[in-house]
Amino acid sequence: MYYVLPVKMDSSVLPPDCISPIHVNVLKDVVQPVSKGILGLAAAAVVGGVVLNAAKGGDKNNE
Amino acid sequence: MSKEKNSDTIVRFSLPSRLGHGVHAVSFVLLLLTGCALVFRGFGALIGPGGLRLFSNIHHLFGVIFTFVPVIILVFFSWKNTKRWIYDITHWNNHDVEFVKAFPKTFFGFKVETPEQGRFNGGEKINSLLQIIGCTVLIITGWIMLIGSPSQTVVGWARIIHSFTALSLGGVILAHAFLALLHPGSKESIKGMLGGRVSRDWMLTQVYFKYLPISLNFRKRNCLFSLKTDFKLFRAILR
Repeated sequence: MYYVLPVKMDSSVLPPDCISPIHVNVLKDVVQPVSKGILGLAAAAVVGGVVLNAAKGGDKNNE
Repeated sequence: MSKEKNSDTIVRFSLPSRLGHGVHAVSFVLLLLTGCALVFRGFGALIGPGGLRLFSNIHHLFGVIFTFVPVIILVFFSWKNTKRWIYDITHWNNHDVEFVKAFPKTFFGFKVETPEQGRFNGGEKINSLLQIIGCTVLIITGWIMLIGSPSQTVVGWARIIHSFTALSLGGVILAHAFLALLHPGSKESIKGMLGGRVSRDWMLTQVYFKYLPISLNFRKRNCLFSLKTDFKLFRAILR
């Protein structure tokens, strides 16, 4: 079972009035970019946290 | 008992709790990685058709493990602790809210006074709640996709919800892993999840058994305070 959406479907084999279902468009155009953004933001926050904590040297355990 | 009292470390999590957490963590990370390959073209193209088939099989196998194993462990082997955990994360007070407000600053290493917390702080409570709700959604939508449905629309929307929830929870897990493994103020906690024990001094700086129900629930042989001390503390707070 594959979930990967084709980059560009070969439209020559499709009927002329073919429309893609709403859920496919929502997944491709909304959900995937938004969820990638959320994951990216979390990764950026973690990198920021690592850098700032290292810069501040705020090790509470060593205080 | 006296040996336990004199020890520098204290039991934080029982073996079944740690096992449940470990199985959940490993299976979630594997599911996230294999799931990304199945959903994102760039990742999928890297591993090719054979790799996709393998990732698909791994994803389905760990989907089954993710669904059943942690629940079996937490319900049948650690029900008392699980009940206490659920009680703790669903009972909030002002201190939890104050902790959550101060959390962004502590996350980035700024020094902020945070109020005393119960066995789990406000951030841990949010994480636990997100895991319970998010994983339930993932399991339901995952099984809809695996078993199938007469309506392709149902499967299609299940895929959307599954994908969004998985990646959002992935972000939560990333932050959770940073706090547990690298953050200077909280990295001691990973010792509690691996070996079960954490430093007594660290525990005292993090956890304060201010509220009687929490104190009573945590009144076990490895507890920091005895029942008598709990009542003394509670009376002192009331005054």
